[in-house]
Amino acid sequence: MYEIIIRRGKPGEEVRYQHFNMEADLDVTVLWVLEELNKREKLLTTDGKAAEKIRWESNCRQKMCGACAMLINKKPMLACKAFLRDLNKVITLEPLSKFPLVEDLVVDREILHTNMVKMNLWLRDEKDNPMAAKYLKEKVGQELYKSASCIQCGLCLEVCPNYTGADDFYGAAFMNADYRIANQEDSKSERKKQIKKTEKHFTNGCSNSFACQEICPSGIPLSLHISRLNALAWKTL
Amino acid sequence: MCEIIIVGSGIAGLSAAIQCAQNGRRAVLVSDQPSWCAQSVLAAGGINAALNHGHDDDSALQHENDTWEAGCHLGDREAIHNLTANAPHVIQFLEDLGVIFSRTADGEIAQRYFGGQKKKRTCYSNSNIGKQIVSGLEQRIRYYEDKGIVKILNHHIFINFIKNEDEVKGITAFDRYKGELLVLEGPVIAASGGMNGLFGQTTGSIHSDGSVTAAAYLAGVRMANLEMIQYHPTTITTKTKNLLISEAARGEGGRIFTYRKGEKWYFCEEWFGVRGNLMPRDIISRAIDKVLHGNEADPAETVWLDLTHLKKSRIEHELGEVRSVCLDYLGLDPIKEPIPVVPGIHYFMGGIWVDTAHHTSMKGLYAAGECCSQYHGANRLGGNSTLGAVYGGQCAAKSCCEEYGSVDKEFDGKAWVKFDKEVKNQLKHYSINSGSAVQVRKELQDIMTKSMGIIRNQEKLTEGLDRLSAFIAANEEKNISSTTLGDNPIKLMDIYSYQTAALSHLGEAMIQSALMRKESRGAHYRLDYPNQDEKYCAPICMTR
Repeated sequence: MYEIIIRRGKPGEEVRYQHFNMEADLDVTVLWVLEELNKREKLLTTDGKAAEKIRWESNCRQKMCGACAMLINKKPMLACKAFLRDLNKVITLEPLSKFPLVEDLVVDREILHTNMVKMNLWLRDEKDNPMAAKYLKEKVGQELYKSASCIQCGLCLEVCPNYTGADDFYGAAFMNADYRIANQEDSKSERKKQIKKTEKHFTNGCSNSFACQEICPSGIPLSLHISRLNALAWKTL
Repeated sequence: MCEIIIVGSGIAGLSAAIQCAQNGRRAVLVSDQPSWCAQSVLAAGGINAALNHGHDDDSALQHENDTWEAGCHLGDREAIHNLTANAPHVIQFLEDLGVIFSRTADGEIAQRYFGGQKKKRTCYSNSNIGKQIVSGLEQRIRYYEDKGIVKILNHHIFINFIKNEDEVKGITAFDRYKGELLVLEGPVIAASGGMNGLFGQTTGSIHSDGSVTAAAYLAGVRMANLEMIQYHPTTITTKTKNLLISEAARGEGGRIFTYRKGEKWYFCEEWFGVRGNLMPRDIISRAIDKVLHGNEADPAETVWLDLTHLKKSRIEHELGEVRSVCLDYLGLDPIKEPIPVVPGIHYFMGGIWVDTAHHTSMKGLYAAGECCSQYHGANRLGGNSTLGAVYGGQCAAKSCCEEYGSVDKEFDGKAWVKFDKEVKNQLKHYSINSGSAVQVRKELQDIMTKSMGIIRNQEKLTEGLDRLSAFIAANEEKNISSTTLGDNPIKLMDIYSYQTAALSHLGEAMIQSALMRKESRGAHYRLDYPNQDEKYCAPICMTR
């Protein structure tokens, strides 16, 4: 028997945790547990009180969309990849702490996207920037492939000792996209402009803990991307 | 007032938005989930185009013929011609956006074999093309968003279409973060994906549930080929969903087998010849089903997909995602052991009927991607869905831009009037008692799964239709005593149950389509009518 403890409520409400009991096999995920709880005709806490349906986000259910990122026993994880076999009999679920809370386990991670818009992370129009296949050949291509595999779950920002969401440091998710665009950019002057932004919004704030790389569910080699960006910065001087 | 409303932000929706912007028109992308969570990111195998990088004398005409033949002559030939002729331009478009493709030693985009195609025509990006295409499209969308040309409304659930007589005039949506209703006025492009919500256990995403298609059906929009559901031959079953093992695994040399009298039996190769593992998906799915269920006296227990004879590095690189899924969800390494597979629902060839320019049957509504029916006929080729989504999104947007004039207004929250009362009335009309909404949806999925299997017959289909009629009647009865709405604010579960009700009517149309097609063609196989009958060589269309 598992005891599932879930932080409930909306911003501004008093913090409260509800406890639920559940029988489950070792090979199921936390996401399965949440789905089963909400399937109950009446959702009752362990002390018999009626509870509202639990809110969380999920979509692909196979670690490819990042929607179900949450804190599981205080560790940032994807619920669809957190198997009960790897957890204790008491499982505490909480929303990620560095993003605005929406309700229960749902947080608003829009900042991941808006920072990339603010930093102009796109390739310029093809007329100005003839995309050269040379950048995409096998070796570099594999690294760029990894970079474009980012699922924007936000786990890297959650574990980052420097990211607060309230200052100029945008964290690894930004750096990862920045790395890709900088590598695909043809014009040296454009690249120079971009590297300046990298310095302001990443390099100056990163203390190289590499907690981001360790937690990344997509296995993106973030430290490699940082070193590639550094090398590019030197070449662009 | 919005210029153009696009519902869904996967590959089709993003492509449509980019096309609108390129035409100098503003678009608003409305989606429950952001594009990086769209089902499109799951697309594994690749995208087809006759680039002839395999140096095997490929051509757009051969691509057209393969698509037409795999679809058993049920696709729209002219649309298929346009799609396949433009496929190389689509690849160029994606390359220009910065999409990362796997490359040959010469730097050309690499192409691989895929089911139902005789040429190496599928461009790929290791084994996760969808994510790479979405990342490339997103990059360009950021640019247009920054310029104020594209507006993105994530975490907004589509509720319904707004109609004025026989023209779609906009949509209602619900911001599930703020709990607010929005009205968006303007022509609509539906790019909302397949109908997974009718079945539950599929390879797709939760939010590609078919609720937009169901709302279109209830609004009187024509549906086509609803009975054509693609069962992917190789999925693995977990407690939450069926996970796809990409066709790329067989494209790279994977072999399907089972054990017969203690020995490995490569039945696909025995039945269909040397390229038997790469026959179209419907054929392989039925072959596996036959081995598992066909011989009652001696059924096979398990069918396996074997990659163990492939080079380790090939599995690690070209099939990295396949390996990762097996390691995480089965605890099995395909480098060392074969993968146990079953056919699972993967794609809906049917949906909203569209013409070659992606008009639906109703003015003001266009459709693109998996939610519409046109290119794939009775069976879709692997690598054609991503192509159809990009190209279809572009076509729908071009048509919409041509037919609807520019609106000289910035995006403005104030213009999106709230109208709780009217939406509540809509919700009430079809709503199911919210308290049991999850169980009710499960019951609907059970009915649909049992009726619309790989092998169908009159008896199963009629039984399903009877159960579904009783289901609809029972839930409409419950609704009479439903007091969940009233003066209370609308909750997510109210919308969920409303969508379940809408889906149940769409499900009814789907089973009726399957009953009407008294033959076997492509993905639709009927035990009582096992042969193809030329009398049915046209889409079955359903309008409510």
